[in-house]
Amino acid sequence: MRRGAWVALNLGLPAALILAPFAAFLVHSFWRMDGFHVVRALSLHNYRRFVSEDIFLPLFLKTCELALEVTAIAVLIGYPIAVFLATLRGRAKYAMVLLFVVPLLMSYIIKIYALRSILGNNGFLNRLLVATGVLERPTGFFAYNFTAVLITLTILLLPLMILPIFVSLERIPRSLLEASADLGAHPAYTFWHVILPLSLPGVVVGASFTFILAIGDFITPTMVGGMTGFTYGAAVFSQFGTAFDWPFGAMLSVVLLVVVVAAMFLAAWLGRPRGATA
Amino acid sequence: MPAAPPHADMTASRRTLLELCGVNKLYGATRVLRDVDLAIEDGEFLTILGPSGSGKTTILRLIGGFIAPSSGDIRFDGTSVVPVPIFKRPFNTVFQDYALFPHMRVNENVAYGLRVRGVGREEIRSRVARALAVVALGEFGERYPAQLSGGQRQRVALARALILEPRILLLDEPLGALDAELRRQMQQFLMRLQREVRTTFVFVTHDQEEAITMSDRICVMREGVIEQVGPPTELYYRPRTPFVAGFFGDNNLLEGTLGGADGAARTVRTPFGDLRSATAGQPEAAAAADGRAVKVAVRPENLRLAPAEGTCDNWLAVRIAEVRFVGPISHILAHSIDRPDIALLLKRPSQAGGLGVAAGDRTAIGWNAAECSIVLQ
Repeated sequence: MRRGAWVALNLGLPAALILAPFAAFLVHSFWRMDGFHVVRALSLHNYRRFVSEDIFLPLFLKTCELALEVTAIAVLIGYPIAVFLATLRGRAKYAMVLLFVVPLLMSYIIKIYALRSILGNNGFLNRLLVATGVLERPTGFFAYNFTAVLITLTILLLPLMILPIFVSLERIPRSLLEASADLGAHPAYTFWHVILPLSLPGVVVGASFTFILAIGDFITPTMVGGMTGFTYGAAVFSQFGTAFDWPFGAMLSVVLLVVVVAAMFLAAWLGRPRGATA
Repeated sequence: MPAAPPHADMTASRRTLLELCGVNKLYGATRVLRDVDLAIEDGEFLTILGPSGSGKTTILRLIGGFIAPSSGDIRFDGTSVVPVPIFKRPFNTVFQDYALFPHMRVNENVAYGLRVRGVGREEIRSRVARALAVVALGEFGERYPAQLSGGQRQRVALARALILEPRILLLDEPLGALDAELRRQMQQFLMRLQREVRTTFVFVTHDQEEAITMSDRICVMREGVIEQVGPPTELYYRPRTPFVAGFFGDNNLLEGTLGGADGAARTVRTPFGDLRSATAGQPEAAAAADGRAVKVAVRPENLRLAPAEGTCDNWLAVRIAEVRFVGPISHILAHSIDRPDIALLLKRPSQAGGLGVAAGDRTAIGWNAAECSIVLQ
């Protein structure tokens, strides 16, 4: 194969499969519906509607907040778990890592059903709390509301937070920790000044995975969100699925895309190599 | 112990700074150190030399506190440091891979130990500047380690360790990753630095030449056991074990059995006659039983060609087998006339007109008792 053809294929395939649909969405977002017909004339109609109607912008901001909360909680829970995994040795380490990776291989829907049966009004968690006397009767706090979406997304996305942090911790040469101790640093000092800064790129990668997947998710809110747990992703879905307003749905997607791309650039900037490679 | 002249004045006034007493180290059933006794003297440049897997780095890591001995004690100034954690020991290490913090500038790397100790900002600044000047890196403070060459990183690692004024500086094969020319420069630099800062250096290497040129004393290790400790000339000319005798370049090893003692020398009976070898500084050889199998080690450059009979303690009739010119020196291979299976190697400075001997010549070889060493099997 000629070099030119190879380059063309490498650039052309992503362009055709990724950029073209994006471009189609972008064009759609400037069209509008008239009854059941799409009016193929460019206008800012959808964008004006997004800003002026008091449903979509607040929902969007609420969903951004949700994604940030999911990310923050996942960092706070995932980091210590990754540290724990990195401190294990030999066979135990890989058995435990596998335990945290296996959920990634399972169907998303099955995991949500499993979580529903744990968090539900009659679920495992409620029964446990009642049985141990923490609660008098089952609470509806964990299921079919916004909190349920938060909890479920956090649990579902946690492995994607743990893995990159674990990898970045594993890549820190042991000799750096020894050098720190050799220079007089207590293990806690070594953690704050050597381990934490050198594992931040992993945190950034994990956080961007988590945030991007959380902000666009529409299945989790549909299945565990109930009446109050409606998110932006679910709103986009309903524009295509139930409202049949493709131009408006496309416009909502473009807004989401802008945020996701911005998050990716922010992550690339935060995780940029300082002082080049290790 | 007959210390060689260049070291005599330095070893005389020294006292023991750190001592390993009966140290053993086991990993599972594998014993990497066996009954190691080693006294490190204040202010010396001690090299721990041995092939890979001989336990030399293990000794360094035991001193540094990265690992604990399975049994035995390590005493610093007479007090055990075994229970003292790494971060409280007054020793610092230059790691084989330098172990510079990649996310910190050179300044911050060098300042690390002072920051840990809570030293004031102004003092840190001046001490870092001084430390970087010592290693000739004054201009490089703002760079990151990745922006430096191997030799420069090496010097940053040295500055980072020396700024804390450690009682002992531990160097773990620090020159291993450098090319030959840079290696020679760094050897010179380290020797000069050690004299300037007057810190005890414990240097680990597997390079014999490096050890010989740099050290006040060398500790030769093999398979977790100390073979011999002493000044380079002593290890070179007066080896006590077959391993040490064969470790530093060419050597002639003549098999025999121990005979009687006479003053500071002993007789060694060989198939081609009796040899005499001095036993000064070799208490084991002096005390060993008659009839014990030994080897006499004598360096090729110590053998005299055609000495007048009676002018040397040891004398041997030989036939020249080969004369080989190898540049500044020439190699002469000679066989014993009584026992043609016994060959000796001589080295002589080359001469433009040749050395006056040729293959086939019958002549003699001689050397004195003080120029050879009894090696116990």
